[in-house]
Amino acid sequence: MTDCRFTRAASLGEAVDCLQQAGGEAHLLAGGIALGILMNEKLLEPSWLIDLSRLEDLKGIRLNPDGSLRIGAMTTHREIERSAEIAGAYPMLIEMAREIACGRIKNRGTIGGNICLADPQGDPPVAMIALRATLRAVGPSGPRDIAATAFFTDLYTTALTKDELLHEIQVPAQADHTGAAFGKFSARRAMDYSSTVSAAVRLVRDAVSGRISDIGIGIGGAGLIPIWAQATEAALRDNRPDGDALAAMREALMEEIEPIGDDLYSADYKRHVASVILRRTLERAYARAAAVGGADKP
Amino acid sequence: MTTIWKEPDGEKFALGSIEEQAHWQKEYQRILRAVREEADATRPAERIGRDSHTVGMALPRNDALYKVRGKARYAANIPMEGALFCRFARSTEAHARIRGIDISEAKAMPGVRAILTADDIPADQLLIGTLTDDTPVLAKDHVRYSGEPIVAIAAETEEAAEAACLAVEIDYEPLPMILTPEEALAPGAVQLDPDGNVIGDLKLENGDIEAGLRAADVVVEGSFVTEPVDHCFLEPPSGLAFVDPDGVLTVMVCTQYPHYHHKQIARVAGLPMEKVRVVQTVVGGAFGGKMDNTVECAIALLVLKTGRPVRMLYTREEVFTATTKRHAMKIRQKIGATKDGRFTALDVEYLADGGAYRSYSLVVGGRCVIHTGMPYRFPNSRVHYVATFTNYPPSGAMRSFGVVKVAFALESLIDELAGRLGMSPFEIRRINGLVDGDKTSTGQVIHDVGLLKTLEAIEPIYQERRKALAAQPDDGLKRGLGIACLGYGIGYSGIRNPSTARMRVTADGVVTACCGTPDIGTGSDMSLAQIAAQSSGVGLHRVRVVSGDSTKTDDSGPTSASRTTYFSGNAAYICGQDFKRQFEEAVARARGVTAAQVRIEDDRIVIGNERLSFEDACRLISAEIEDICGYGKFDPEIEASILTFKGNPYPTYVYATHLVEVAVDAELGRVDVLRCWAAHDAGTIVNPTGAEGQVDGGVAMGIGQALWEKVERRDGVILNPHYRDYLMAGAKDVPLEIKSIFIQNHDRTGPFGAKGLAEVSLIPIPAAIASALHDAVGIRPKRLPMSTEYLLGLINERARAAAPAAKAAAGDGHD
Repeated sequence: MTDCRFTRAASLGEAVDCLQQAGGEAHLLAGGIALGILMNEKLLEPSWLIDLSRLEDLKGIRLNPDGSLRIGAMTTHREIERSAEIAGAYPMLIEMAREIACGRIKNRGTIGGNICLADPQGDPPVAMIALRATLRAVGPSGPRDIAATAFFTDLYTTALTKDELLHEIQVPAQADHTGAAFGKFSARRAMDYSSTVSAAVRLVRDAVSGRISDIGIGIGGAGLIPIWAQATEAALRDNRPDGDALAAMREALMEEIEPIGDDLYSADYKRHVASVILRRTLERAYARAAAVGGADKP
Repeated sequence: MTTIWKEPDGEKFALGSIEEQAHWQKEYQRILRAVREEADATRPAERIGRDSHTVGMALPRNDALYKVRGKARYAANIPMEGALFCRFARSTEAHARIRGIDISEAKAMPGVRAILTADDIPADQLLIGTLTDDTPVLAKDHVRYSGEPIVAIAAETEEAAEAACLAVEIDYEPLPMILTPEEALAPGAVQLDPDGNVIGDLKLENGDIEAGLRAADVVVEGSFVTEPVDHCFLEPPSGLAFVDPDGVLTVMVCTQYPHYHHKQIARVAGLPMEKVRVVQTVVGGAFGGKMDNTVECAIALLVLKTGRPVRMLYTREEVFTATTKRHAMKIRQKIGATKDGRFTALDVEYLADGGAYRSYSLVVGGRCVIHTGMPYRFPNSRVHYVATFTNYPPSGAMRSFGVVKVAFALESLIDELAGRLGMSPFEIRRINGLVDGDKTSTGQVIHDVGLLKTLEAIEPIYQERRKALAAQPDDGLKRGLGIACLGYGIGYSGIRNPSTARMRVTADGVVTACCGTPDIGTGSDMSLAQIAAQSSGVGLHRVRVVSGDSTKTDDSGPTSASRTTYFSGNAAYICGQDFKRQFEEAVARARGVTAAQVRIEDDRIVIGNERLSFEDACRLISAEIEDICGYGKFDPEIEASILTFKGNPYPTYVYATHLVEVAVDAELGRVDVLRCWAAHDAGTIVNPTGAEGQVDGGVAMGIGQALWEKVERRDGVILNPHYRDYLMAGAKDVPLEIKSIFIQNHDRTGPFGAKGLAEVSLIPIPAAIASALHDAVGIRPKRLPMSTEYLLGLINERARAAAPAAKAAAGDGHD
């Protein structure tokens, strides 16, 4: 085993300095979930670990007066699952957090760590794509905002540069008549990492026509990256989610996703599952949008 | 400033929300109850009192408290000063000649103390095995599966041993691989074993199969495929070996069969038996996977080579890639019946993948052959079982020795047959189910058969759930009910397998019962203590069971084949009677009365009108107390031909009927098992606490093996050697409602009427789930595991087949 340098960063500045010094050779330690697995299996032997656990700056959940939400990158899945602020304004994020792995992982794992791992099966990435969140990075030259839709660039690769780290997640205020939902497929109920397919949907329902005026869709486990399903969004926009629109949605989705067949499921089966999970999630989001109403509702 | 860690609110054990914990609660409550009860009393005696009549009482297991307190001593955490750590360099080829092994670099690495290869072991001591000595301790010049151990290295630390293993250079000449039994049997196939590619070719014929098929009004047939499965014991194989102060090579190891290792180690090390001792450590799960040699011989040899203690613990990856597996099997089966539902014929062929070495393949084969058709009357049957070698890890023993697959195929076809005949699944089983005095396919006349009682116990529940499901509001899921039955022989198949026990007592009244077969985590030491106490009349509180030590018990076979309660229980019973007689005679001599005037009764000694405490009686006979040694040997006459299987292969049989309720998401093929009722005729239940635990575990294991578990193999390599991609049932997948029903049945040959239970609670589950799937969505799955994708394929196939028919029926068939 090679020696590993360990720095418990006392400030965001120190963490960034270390990253810069390491020139891409350091690993950030957030919840240590994926890192722990890789190190235990000796697939990764880091030469420098930068521990972010003391950075208060990276913690906490804040619902802003304008209705937008700020989640620090080091917030655990459990904190999100139990947050009263989030439960009121963004119930879809509660659904998402519930679906993550198991209790022990939720207690340790962080939303920032999960997003930066950019695992195609990850749950937070697709939720943030659907919510049109902004991911605020911080590097030597200060903060930089990256749209969640542009964050995932390749397999396990993000738009962060090697001397940047994720500071916080900003979720914009939701328009009136918004409904959002998170859906996930796994063969067994206990934690199932291997072959899950997930869908996150956020939509705005026109109160008069019932048409979808705005929509965001993220699909997980159906390609090399968490997928921003743009064409699928387009197929549904300005439509009610019924007959023809659903057929168009399915067709567009099939073009946009590229699931990889594995030892458990074929690519075709995953395609089928993605379309079913998306349809069901869409239906739930739509029903919620109809139920919540909005300021203009009598 | 000191940081004081503060426990977050409401997260005491990081177990998750209350909602999530619901899945755990049943098990927790069982454990908590056991622990509290044990902890409440300073000595169990005060809780149990002086009662010796404890058979049938739900008692906390005597291992519960130390296990939950983290005090259990597993081989990996027994402290041992100066112990070296052993690791194997394993084959990276599935089939190859070894041209050369270069250990020079490994030898020079820091911390390395000894390196062992096959060349260090005399050729006639190299091979070991369970029935046949065919497996090299370390591969010599031929490797037969990827993961086979070739070099064993002992070093100061695990890391140093592992680094040295990576530095070993092995020069392979790859050979053609045999990946399936079909390839093994193909003409011109490369021969894996000096005796060819066939491990076993077994046949059983009964009556006239052709006549039976001719007599049938309905014949159903099917081909079934099952995949290999891992035991998934939580504690990997582990051991610690050292030479004790008397010069005895002592090997402490987690095992189901210490005496087997005792013999093998003595032979491999070239030592007399008395210079080797094998002590079983606490076993963290076994399920048939701790019956073969893993760490034992290597660490024993390395102790002799280094003069230092040596420890070894497999990694999970090694467990998946290099320990025995459940056989992958193909089953072709045909059953015939008359219009009124009487079975006339059963014709079955098995083709099993035995892996690289024999292990328990023949035992699995024999048991599958004998159990084909159980628990029903088939006047005519023909069974043919073939197991071959392949270049995968050896297939061996696992909970039920293959019978879970036999039941899956047979029960599925019986269900289909019932459907064809328009009969209920209960009716067809009632018509054909074995009853007292029936003959099995081996010609054995059986007694104390409780099969129909288990059916009777389940049928009203089935009817009630049927009504409840009819009233269930539509939630998009399809629900179904399914049943399956089993009959299962206790003990070795057709070979005598005696068990023994010895009981002694000290002057201060402590009774030690040395029992033949070890407790592997099932709670059998507790059950044996209950039997020994009740048989001898002494209080349970004073009985200590000792098992699993080659110097303290006779070789009574392994704890396997659900045999401990019956075989070792009977030995303990006989031993208890003998102890009682000797003790009473000693008291009679001391008092100058006749033995008939003395009896042990409820932990007291009754002499005429006088009552003595057990302790006082021990003092009274202190001069000869050391001479008292109760002995019990249980060795029922078991005999069956190894060629025809005719005879009496088992002393008794266990029966069961299981009912499961499933919910199916028909659009995805996803299944949830919602409820399960398991009715068993296991004879008298010695300790209901332990029995219920066995059933819960069997059901959980059955669900995993029915729906997800599969060792994924390709080109000689195991692709999913981790729990993240080998999916077993988790707590949330196990129904909150598992109801154990133990029907009243007294086995005339069992200790206090007991039979056995361990394996059987698993066996009907996959078949019952398959049957429930038919009830829910009309499909007949014929593969294990029944993956979501496979099930969706069947559901779609059925919809396509039904579509034209529906169209035609609707008068819409003009295209």
